[in-house]
Amino acid sequence: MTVPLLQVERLVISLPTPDGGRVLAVREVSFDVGPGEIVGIAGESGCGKTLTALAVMGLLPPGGRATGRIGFDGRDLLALRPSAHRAMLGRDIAMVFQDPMTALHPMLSVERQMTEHLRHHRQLSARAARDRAVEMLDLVRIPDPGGALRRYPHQFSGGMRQRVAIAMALVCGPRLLIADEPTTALDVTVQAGILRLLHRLRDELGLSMIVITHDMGVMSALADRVGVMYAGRIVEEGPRPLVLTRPRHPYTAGLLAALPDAGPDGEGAQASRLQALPGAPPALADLPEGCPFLPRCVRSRPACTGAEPPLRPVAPGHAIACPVDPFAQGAA
Amino acid sequence: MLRSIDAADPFHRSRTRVRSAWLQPLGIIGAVMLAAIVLAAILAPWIVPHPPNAMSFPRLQPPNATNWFGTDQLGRDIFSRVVYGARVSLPYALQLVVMSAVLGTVLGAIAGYFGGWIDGVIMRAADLVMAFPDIILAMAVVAALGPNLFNAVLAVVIVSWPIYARVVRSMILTLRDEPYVQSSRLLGASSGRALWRDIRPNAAGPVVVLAALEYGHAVLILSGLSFLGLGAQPPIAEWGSMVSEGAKYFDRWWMSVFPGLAILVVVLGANFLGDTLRDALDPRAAKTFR
Amino acid sequence: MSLLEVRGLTVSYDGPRGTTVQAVAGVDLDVEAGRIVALVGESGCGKSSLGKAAVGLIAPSGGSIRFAGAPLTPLGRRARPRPQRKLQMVFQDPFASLNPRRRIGELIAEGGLVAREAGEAPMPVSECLSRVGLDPAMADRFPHQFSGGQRQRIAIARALAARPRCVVADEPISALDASAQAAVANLLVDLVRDLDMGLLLISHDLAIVRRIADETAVMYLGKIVESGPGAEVWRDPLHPYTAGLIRAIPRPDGAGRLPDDLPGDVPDPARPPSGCRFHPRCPVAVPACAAAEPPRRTLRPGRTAACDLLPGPAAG
Repeated sequence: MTVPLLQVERLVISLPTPDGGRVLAVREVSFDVGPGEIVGIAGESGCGKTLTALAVMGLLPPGGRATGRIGFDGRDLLALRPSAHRAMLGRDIAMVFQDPMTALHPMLSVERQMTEHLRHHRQLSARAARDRAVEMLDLVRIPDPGGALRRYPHQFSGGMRQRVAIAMALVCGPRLLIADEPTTALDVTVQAGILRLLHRLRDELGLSMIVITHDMGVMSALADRVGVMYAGRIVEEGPRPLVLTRPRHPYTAGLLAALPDAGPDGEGAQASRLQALPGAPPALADLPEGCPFLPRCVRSRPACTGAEPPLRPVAPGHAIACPVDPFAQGAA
Repeated sequence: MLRSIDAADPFHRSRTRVRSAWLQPLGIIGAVMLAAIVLAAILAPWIVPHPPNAMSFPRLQPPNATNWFGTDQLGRDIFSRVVYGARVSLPYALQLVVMSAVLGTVLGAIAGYFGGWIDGVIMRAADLVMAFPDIILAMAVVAALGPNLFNAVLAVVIVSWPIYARVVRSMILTLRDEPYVQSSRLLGASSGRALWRDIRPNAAGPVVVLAALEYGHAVLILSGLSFLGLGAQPPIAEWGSMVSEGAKYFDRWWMSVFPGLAILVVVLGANFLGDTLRDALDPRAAKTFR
Repeated sequence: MSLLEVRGLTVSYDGPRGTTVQAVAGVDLDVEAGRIVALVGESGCGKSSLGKAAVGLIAPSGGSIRFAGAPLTPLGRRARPRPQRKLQMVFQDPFASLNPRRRIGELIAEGGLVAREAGEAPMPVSECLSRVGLDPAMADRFPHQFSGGQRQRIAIARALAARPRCVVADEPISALDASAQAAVANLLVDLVRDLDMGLLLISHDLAIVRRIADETAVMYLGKIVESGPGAEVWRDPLHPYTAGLIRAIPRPDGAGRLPDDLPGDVPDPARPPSGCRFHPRCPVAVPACAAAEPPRRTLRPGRTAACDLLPGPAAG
C-alpha cells in the first residue's frame, strides 16, 4: 500500500467579503494524491477548485485563511511557517496556470526565468543551471532549446508558451505538479499536444499531478481519479472510467448530460435539445439548508432536506455526497 | 479565449469598493484639510479678526497675541490675509480646472470622433503645448495679455487642456471598439449618438478623477504666477504674491511661511483626495476581475 | 439568392513593418433564413474577422457581401442604413456586450426602435425577455446584477427586439459556464426555428456545432477548407485539417484515450505557406501540394472541400 504523496484532510478555506464578513469557499475537502497519480478536480466556476490548489501552494489571496491538514511527505503544509511553505514552492510542488503570459515574466528572457529558480532552490552554478534548463525545454519538446533560452515569452505561440511554463515549473524537479485549467486558453489541436505532454511527463518522471478543469474531455484524457466539486465540497470522487461513464451523483450526471457529446447529432434547427442543467450554482454567502444541489436536483427525495449529506462510499474507491444514490444498480 | 465566469460581476464590486475606499486614512485626512480651508474661505468675513487690507498695525511684527501670524511691511494682519487668500485661490483654481476640462474634453472628443486630419491637427497642437514647461508658457501668455488674475487663469487653461484632450480622445478610441458600443451602432445609432449615449457616461469618470488630481496643481501654478508678479496684483491678498513680498524680507519668516503653509495644505489635501478618488473609481481595478 | 451572401471576401489588416495581413483570404458563404450555419476554426483562422465584416463592423478589402439582396455597406460615421439593421450581432464577452450604466429594459427597447423604423411593431421588452428565458420584471435592473449566462441572454434579447432576419453570433457561448452553454445553445436553436431567422454561428467548439448546426464550414488561415451538413462533417470529414481537428478533441467518455495532436503551429497569417496553406502540417501532403493552392470543389452534393488529393469532380 503506497503512502500518498499528498493528503488533503478536511480543508476549509474562508475568504473575506466586501462588507467585512467571511464566507466559507471550501468546506471540508479531503483527497489524496499518490506517487505518479493524476487526480482531476472538476467543477464549475466558484466551486472552490482553484482555491483548493492555491491552499496547497500556500498562495491564498489576501485575507484567505485555511484550516485542516495538507500532508505532503508527512509534513503538514498548513502548520509550516509561510517562509517554509514558500521554500517548497517550485522545489517540491509546482503550479501551471491557465494563461502562460501571467506565469511568465514578459520582460525577462526564458533563460533568466528558468535559471533563477534553479539557483535559488538548488544553488546550482550558472553553467549547470543553464544545462538543466536546456534539458527541461528539450523534455517538453521545444525545438532548438538553446535558442529558446535567449527568447522572450511573447515570441512564442500560445502552445509553446505553455510548454515553456511547464518546463519552468519542472526545472527544480518537483514531485507534484498542479495544473489549473492548463489548456483552456489553447486551441484544440494545441491542447492535444499539451495533454500528451503531461501524460508523458507522468510516465517518464513519475510526476504526480492535480489537474483542475471544467472540461470533461480533458479530464477523461488525463485523470486517473476524478473529484467533482460543488459549492465548496467534493460531491463525487472515484476512478475516472466510472465517474465519467456511470456517475452516481445527480450533479455529475447533470454535467455530463449537458455536454454536447452526450446526445445524438443534430439536424440543425430540428436538432434535439441539449440537456441543460437548470439554475446556477448557489452563492456561497447564503447556502440553503441541507444539500446545496437540492434546488437544481431532479432526483431529490424528502431525505434531502435534512442535514448536508456527507461523502459516503457507494463502491470501493467511489464515494458520493448524496443520500439518495439514484443511479445505483438495482435502485428503485 | 475567456475563462468562464459566472460569479458576481466586477462593476458591482467596484461600487461596494467605493464605500470602503472613501475610508482610506489619506482620503479622510485630505478631505479634512480641504474642508477646513474651504470653510475658512466661506466664513472669512465672520471669522477674521481684522480686515485684510487695513494697514492698522505696527509693521513687520512677528506673530503675537493680536496678530496671530504677524504683520507685513504695510502693517496688515497676515492671518486675515491668509484666510482671505483662500477666497482668491480656491475659486480661481476651480474655475481654471473646469475651463481646462471643458476645453480639453471638447477638443479631445472632436479629435476622437472625426479622426483624420482634424485629429492630427488637435493632437499636434496638444503635443506642442505639452512640450513646454507649463509655467514658462503661462508666463509668456500672461505677459502678452497683461498681468492680472483672470489672464493668469486663461493662460493656465491654454497650457492645461491637452491632458484632458488626450484622456478623452483615448477613451473614445478605446470605447468605440467595446462590444456594447458596436451593438448600438449595429442597431442604427449614428456614431454621434453612440458617443453621447454609450461613451460619454463611461468616459466621464476618468475626466473627473483627472480634474480632481489637477486641482492641487492649479492652485500651485496660480500661486506661482502670482509669486512672479504675473497673477494677482497688489493689494489683493493672494498666497503666491504674499510669499513673493515676504521673500524681500526673508528674515521676517512669518511673512512667507504662513501663506506657503496654506498652499501646502490645500495642494496636499487635494492630492490625497484625488488619489483616493482615483483608487476608488479606477476602472482598471474592476477589469482585473475578468 | 440567400439571406446573407458572401462572395470572394477578403479582409486585410496592416501588419507590423508595412506588411499586409490577410485575415480572410477569399471566402464564399451563404446563410438562409431558418438555418444555422456554423463557422469553425482555431485562432488565427480569420473567423472573427469574417463575422465582423459580414455584419459591417469592418470594411472588406475585396469581394462582396449582400444582405437581403442588397450590398452591405460597412459602418461609417452615419447611422447604419435601415434595411441593414435587420442584420444583428451577438458578441463573445457577456460582460462587455451591455453598457454597464444603462438598465437592461432600456437597452432592449433601443433594439425595438429599429423595428419601428422598419414599419413593424417592435417586439415588446417583456416578450424579448421571456423569449430568452428571463423574468420580464427584471427589466429595470442593471447588467451587473446578472450572471454571465443571463447577460448573454440579455444581449440576445436586445438583438431580438430589432426583429432581425439574420444574426451573426461570434463565439456566443465560449465565455460561459458549462450549464449556461447548453441553455444558451438551446435558446439560439429555438429562436432560429420560431422566428425563421438565419444564424451564422462562429465557434471553436466543434462539439456544440455538431449538435446544432445545419451546415458547418471549417476555416484555416483565412480560407474555408471544408463545408457540409453539420453532423456529416463531423462523422465523415473530407479535408485532412478537419480530420485532424476532430481527432484532437478529447472525448469525455472515460476511456482515458489521449487525443491525437496536429504537429506544428498555425503559420503567421502575414506569410502563408505556398500552395495549399495546410500542407506543412498535413499528414498526407505530397510535393504537389506546395505548388498550387487547391480550389474549393463540390465533391458530393452539399459537400465542398479544398484539397487536391480528394477524389471527385474537378473545379468547374
